[in-house]
Amino acid sequence: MRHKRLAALLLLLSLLLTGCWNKVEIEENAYVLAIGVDEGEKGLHRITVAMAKPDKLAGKEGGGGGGGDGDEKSIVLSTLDAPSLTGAISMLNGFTGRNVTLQHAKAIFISEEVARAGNMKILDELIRSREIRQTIFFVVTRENAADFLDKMKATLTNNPMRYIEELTYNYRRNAMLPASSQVNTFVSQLDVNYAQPLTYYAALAAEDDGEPGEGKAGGEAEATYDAGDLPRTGGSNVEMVGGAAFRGRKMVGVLSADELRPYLLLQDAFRQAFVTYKDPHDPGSFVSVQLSRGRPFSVTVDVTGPRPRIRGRVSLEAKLIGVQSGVDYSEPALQAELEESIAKQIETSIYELVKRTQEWGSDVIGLGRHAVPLFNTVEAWEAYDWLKKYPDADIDVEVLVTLRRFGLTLSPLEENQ
Amino acid sequence: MQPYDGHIGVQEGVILVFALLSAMLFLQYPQFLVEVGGPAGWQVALIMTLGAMLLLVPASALARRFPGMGLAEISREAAGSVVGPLLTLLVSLWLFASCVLTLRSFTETFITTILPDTPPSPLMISAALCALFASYKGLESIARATQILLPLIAGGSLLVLLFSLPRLDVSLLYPFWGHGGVPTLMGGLYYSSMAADVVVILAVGYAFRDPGHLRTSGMVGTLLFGLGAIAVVFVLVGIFGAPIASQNPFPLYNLARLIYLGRFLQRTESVIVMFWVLAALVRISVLLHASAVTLSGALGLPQYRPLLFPLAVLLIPLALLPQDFLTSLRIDRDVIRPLGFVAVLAIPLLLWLLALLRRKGGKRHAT
Repeated sequence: MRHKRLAALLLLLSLLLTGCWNKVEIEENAYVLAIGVDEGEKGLHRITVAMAKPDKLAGKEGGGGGGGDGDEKSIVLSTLDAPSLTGAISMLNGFTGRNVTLQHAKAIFISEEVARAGNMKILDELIRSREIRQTIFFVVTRENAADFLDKMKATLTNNPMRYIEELTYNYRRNAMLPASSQVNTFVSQLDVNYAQPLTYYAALAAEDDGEPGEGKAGGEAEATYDAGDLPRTGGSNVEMVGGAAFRGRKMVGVLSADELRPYLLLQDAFRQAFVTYKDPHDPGSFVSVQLSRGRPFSVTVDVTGPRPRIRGRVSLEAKLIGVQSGVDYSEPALQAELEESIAKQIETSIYELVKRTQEWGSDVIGLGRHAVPLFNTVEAWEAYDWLKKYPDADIDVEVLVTLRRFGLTLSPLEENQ
Repeated sequence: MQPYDGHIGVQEGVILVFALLSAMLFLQYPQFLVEVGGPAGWQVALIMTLGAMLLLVPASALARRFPGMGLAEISREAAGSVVGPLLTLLVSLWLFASCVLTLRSFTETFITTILPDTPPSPLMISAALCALFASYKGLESIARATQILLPLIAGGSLLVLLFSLPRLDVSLLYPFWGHGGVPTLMGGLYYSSMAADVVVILAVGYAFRDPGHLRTSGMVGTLLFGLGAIAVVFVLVGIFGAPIASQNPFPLYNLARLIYLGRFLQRTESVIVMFWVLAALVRISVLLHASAVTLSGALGLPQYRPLLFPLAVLLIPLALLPQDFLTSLRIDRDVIRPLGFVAVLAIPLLLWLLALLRRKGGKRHAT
């Protein structure tokens, strides 16, 4: 009985231990949702933090979002020049009135200027800090990160970072983004010698004048749209498509929205996409298909010669969604012709992508991952120096498209034929 | 011989050994394996497992020769009343040193990851008090408590590994042979001392009704630990890549932090921390108990319990001695682990040879 009483007393006393050192009341903290990094004065970083206004975030959906007008903003922005992120947070605590915490940060926005300069000194803090999660999104912005965060307008949600998160799902639905762009993936790829990082790339759309822009389409079946150039009007002013390519810590180029499709195909990370191709029977018309993954990307690499040789085979399945020309592609001969035409167009896009990345000297596709198993030891692999050899690699990819389904009607409308 | 404080069977023995060793997988040890093997770190873990099982052979042979005895009694019997206690004392000191560094490592990991504002002493005092209580209650109590806790610890860790799999990139596990066969082999054999703590079962050999139970407990527990180590290293390298994994002293915690299944499942590290605490307490309790038992045997004391409180008190200042976390890691890797070979291999082997030469043990002691 005495033991039971003692145990009960100890249990009760344990309640007193809960708030000794690390107790934090929720309302004592200011929660940073996003971090922006720009070039600052005198070699410092210009750090912008977007802190949540919990009462606004909890408001009705479809409000002003992050960049809403006046009092409707759900975030508070602060920008300061500091030598490091920690320094910035420290300064922020001097005027925020609450303890600024990064525990709920969802994304870090690095301006293109900083990325192209390779000024990524902040990376080490991102990895070491216990507050920052390595799963936060890594986004390169065409504009200054501070401007981007200030002007971004999320639609359909109050929470701008939830909006960014929803945009990332575009990878699964439309293959217009890298499969992943988080701090962890970025850092991992800096250390492996078979790939280079490719991150999300976002930009603000031009001021809405009520007229859709032109992009770089020029009448091609597949327009080469970069983020910020989509020919559109209305909606949110944030465009996040394509990717920022890096060589080491330095950004070397931008892949457009439709270059991401062949990129994902060669990474074997492609899921599905709705794509428009030139009609082989009527160059002025287009054929819309839903592409999905067929067999896994098969690839062989030969490293015995002076240049690496890569032979690959991409297998895709297609569902016909629309035929503007009215050609009846359910006819077996025409079906084969369409399959071949789509395959050729995809092959062309693959070669163009490979050529661009070779010009940058950056294997953002990660084709080296197919070469590394050919080496027995780390030392042999490092001596081969894949990343130096990649620009000269001879790459040949065969694409196989199989038209599986034709939509709810098999033949086109009579009047079109 | 120690007074009766309960017996343990094969099941409890296996669980005890597995819990004692697998707690190390929460700490810096997977990092050491990756450091040596690079992408082939899992092969180092495999060789480490086989090596660790081999290390158990002399201890098993001793237990078979001296059934129903603990290390202290065996030493006294095999090496005499002067050398025997000295050898037991060496093992006791090593076990206590391992206990000290375990306490320091777990404290550091808590402070670095979840309790940044908490001074180390309250954490250490809490852990030492728990270990003191568990050790006082005896081995059987620890074993039975572990029997309840282990499914939580192992299941939780397994879930972390499973949920991490979507991030796994098999290419990171190449080149297949890492830094080559020789470094992998030598590294694996060197780190087989990771399992040297298994000498605990020899220290408390009197608690096993049958020497065969001791051998099976040691072998199976070590094998399960080895499989766990292989799995952790495999996933760790497959997700972080060898360069980052080799600098990662909190492997399971960092893996749990990476779990991100959309909005559905994230921030799972708070769960892993709970398993972490349980694993740490089990390990510290077992090591403290074994230290006290061997020390009392070496000093010729009839009871180990009077030693528990002084040892628990000593544990805390000694754990605070290394000036920083890295120093404690280096002491563990470069001093304590290599000395583990003395505790688990050299001393049992020497005792076995002495017993053979002096014709001690064997049928005379058969039950």
